[in-house]
Amino acid sequence: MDPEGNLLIADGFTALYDEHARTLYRYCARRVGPDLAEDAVAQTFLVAYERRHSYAQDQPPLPWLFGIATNVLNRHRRDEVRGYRALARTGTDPLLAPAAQESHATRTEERTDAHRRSRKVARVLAKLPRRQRDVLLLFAVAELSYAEIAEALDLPVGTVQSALHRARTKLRKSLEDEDR
Amino acid sequence: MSNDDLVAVREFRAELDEPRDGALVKGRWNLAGAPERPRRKRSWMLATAGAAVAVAVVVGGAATLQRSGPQQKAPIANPPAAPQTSPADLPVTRGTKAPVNPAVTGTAGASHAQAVQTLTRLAAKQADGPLTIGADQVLYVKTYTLDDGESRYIHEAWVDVTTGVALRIRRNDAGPRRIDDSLSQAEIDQATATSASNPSDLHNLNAAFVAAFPTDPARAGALAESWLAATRRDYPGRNADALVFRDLHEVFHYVDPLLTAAQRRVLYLAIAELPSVKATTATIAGKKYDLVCASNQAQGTNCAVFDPENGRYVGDVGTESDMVLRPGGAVFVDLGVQPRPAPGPGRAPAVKEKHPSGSATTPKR
Repeated sequence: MDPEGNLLIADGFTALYDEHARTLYRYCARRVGPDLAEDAVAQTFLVAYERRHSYAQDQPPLPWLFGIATNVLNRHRRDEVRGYRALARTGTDPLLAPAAQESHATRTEERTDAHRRSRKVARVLAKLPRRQRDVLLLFAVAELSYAEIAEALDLPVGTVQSALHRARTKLRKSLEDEDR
Repeated sequence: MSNDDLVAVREFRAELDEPRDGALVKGRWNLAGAPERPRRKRSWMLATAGAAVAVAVVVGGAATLQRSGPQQKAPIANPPAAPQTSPADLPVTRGTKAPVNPAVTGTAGASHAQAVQTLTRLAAKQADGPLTIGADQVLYVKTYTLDDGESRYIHEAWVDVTTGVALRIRRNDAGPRRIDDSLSQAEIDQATATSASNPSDLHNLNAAFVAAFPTDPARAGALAESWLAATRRDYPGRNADALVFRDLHEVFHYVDPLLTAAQRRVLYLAIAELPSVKATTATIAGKKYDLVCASNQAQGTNCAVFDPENGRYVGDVGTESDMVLRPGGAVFVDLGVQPRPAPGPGRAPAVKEKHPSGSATTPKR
């Protein structure tokens, strides 16, 4: 502890990092790819450490950390959308390394449905307004509840529900169109 | 209700879930406050002939800025130094505004009063007109970190100033990842339609947004209030002026170069009207800069960096809540004019793919 009674990085925050960095990485990597995800996770925890006084210690830290990560990723939103568009347009994901791409391609030859869905999801994500995209990915990928997303994004729960409903409606319609 | 849509999102890019070996070490290392790694000897990176081409473009743009008087919007007769290569061949080079790994010092004591004073002073410095861009040209914005090594980051955008859409984005990081992607003509058409059908605001920075930007300093307060009102409506209960400041990040990059001196004056005076904005100073590579910052209570502090000599925006940096600039993290911006990039390859027919069995009908799941 430091003189103010705060956890020092060495005796507290690295434990938080060890516990949650991988979870945050998954969320970030799916949005902006491995390289930017590494930086985003590092930046998220540095901001979190700086803002540790604003964190209610009796609350689970993940919504707070996801909120910071989402804000950090906001700086890369043009690149994020560009990646979705490229995947939707070409069927090749620019975020996947060549080896993974090959593996992905091999698998998608066997599972055309999954490949098609992936392109469809990318196309919808590229078109979603920022807030709906944030809410959808925090719900589906980060698996936060409505209340946790509301806390992460500092939004009313009703707004989260509404944004998620809109995003899912668009996504479902897109997937259903594909199946027809 | 079926959850197939959520399943599809959960399966989306699941290949990326597993970080590469050592991927998370950097963050933990940063967090643990390990001692600074030795840095490379300071050097200017613009040493190649290719770099000279980039400098010509950027300097050409800067020269255009100097030549264009306030309120001038017509394309110039002699466009800035055109590259000898096509846009696709423009080499990726460092920017021009600071050396790599510069010495950095920050000043404590940021305050709103200083922000008002600083932004008023910067506003009074405005003399350069808008960057004039011809019909077959686009705004070129290069964003780059000042630090070498793993944090190196060079991002380039070729932006259509009519729609505000980035027609091409190229990103070079220190790692193996390289992205260079151009919108297809279909995507450009779609983005153009979207831009035209939505109101011009901080999220739709098109030509109409620039054209409607006020020139009367007396309207700065109303401009700031309009930003705040829109943000309060979209994000009730949040710190609106910090969110507005965050959105101004793109205004600085993609709109500021297109404003007349009078419009930019109003922009800066409007920022001074945001209650939580504070200012301080910093020195980077021996040159003094103004930092104008805003904190989002739970999500960090962002600062815009201005050159006090000409009052122009030069980049941004994230700081701790004390708004003191420390080494690492500063990102600068160079501007220029480039020929309009050619559209990328067209969209493949993704919806109806031929089934492996030979049937052209997509099977139902």
